[in-house]
Amino acid sequence: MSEGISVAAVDTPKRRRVLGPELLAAILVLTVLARALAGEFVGDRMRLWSTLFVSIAFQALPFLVLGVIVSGLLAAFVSPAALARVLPSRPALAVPVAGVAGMALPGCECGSVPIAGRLVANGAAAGPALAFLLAAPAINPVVLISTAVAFPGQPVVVVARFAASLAAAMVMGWLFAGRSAEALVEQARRRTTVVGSKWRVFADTSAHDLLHAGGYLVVGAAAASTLRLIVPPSVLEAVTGNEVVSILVMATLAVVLSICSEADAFVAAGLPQFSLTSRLVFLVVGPAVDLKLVALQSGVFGRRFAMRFAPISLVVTIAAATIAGLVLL
Amino acid sequence: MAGVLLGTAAVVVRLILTGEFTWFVQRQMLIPLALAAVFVAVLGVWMWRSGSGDSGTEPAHHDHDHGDAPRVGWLFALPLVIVLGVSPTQLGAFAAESSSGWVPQSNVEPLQPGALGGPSELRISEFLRLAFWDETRSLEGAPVRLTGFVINDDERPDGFWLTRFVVSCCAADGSPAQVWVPTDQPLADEQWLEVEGEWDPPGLEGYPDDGSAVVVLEPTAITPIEQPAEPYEWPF
Repeated sequence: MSEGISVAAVDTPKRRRVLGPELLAAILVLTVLARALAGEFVGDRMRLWSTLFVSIAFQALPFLVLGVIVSGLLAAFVSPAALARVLPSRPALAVPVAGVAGMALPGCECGSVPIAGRLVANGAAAGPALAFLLAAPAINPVVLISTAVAFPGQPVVVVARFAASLAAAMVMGWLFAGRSAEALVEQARRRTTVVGSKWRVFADTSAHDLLHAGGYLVVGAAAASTLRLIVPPSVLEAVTGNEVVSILVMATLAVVLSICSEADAFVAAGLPQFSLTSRLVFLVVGPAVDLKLVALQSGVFGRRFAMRFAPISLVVTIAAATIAGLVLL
Repeated sequence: MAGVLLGTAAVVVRLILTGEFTWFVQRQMLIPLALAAVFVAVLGVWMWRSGSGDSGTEPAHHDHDHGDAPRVGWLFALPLVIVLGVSPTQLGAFAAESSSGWVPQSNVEPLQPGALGGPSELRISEFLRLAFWDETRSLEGAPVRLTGFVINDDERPDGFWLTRFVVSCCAADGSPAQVWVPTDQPLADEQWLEVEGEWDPPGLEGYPDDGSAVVVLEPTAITPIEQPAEPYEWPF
């Protein structure tokens, strides 16, 4: 596939556009009809699932929008050359710089994935972009403040979270630097290249990114809701005795619950049966690897990338958090 | 596809206007959600108008993408379909039975006396925290007023669980905080109440550590109320 610009044929898009709104209208009419007729058949479980699902989706929406806006602005107003000037040329240096730069983006992980994709599409190297992708949701001011509020009187938790997340981001950035990594992120480079005014580029990119990332967010939210309804709470309570099991359970929980990083501290604070170290694992793993993120990463960077990146991130973040926990907590 | 964006924005706006958004996310999300809805709506309008007409430069697309919108974007219609089709409600009795109970952590300030000697208005989570962790036992002998909804226990007909969900991020992580209220008065599940009463402290051995502890409120007055605008408790 060439990276050049190709003009869309006039006929096909028109046909699709005519189908689109009509299809949607049909879906909506059917939905409302189905609801009116079959109200009784929507059981308690389905209703609960719907509440969980909608809450995750709408909780994430403003942060997704924020990420899409920044990503769109990046696409429209920042040239790849400007980006290259900001980062040091040697990947060994660019990775830590990009990691620390993650502090500048408040918001949850839904935003950092489109932005990292945009950075790569604009010419940034894979390593620093990925370090940024991991660091931004974990060490920005909103997250650090919320962690401080969630663990009052224990500022060391904030320090541990910051240190472990930044270390993990940098390790991943270094691991994924180099030619083989560049090949993995190829899909992100082959993004819609739009011509037109800057604002048109912004709008086109934002619309595309929002639908793309939004679709995957929905997959993640649906999966998280489904899993939460299946795991019995008694099982969770039975494992807190063993530290290793606690850590693994909290890591799994972080992956499954897909909670936005500026609020996961409160959830961790609400699980006092687990040790502080295992909860730190929860806080460090969550913003890096969860169902929602894997779905988003697949969408932006491709499945091949996500299938490699996610398991390695999981191992690296668990290791970083466990070490930080042993040393600091 | 523009319809998906517009429909989603419309649904979010409706949830905000009816106040029902508090069933899913916290009140502070009002402005971010509203702004997000505006942005999504604007994008939707833009997509619609630039898609149907030819407004100057035709956007050029890479053949990797299907026309002007990615196919996965259709999934973005799911929240809109769910809200319209299923009308999800706030977390209630079924959700409470499907979740593990909320356990209060420490770090609690002793109870301040209520205004003018009246009962202290407390959240259920605060009440549980004081019962578990307050070493000054400031709850003892202090009249309190709690707000929550009823969950009846089939195995214990001599009272009910006064329940309210504690939520930190959004309804998906909600956990029910429950207080046992002994009474003969028959009450329907999910009826909202204000209950005035006093803490019934445990015996000398205190509360067990294993999560089976039951905190009891001896009621002096039980008043049915309308569901509050914000059905959940946020710990901070």
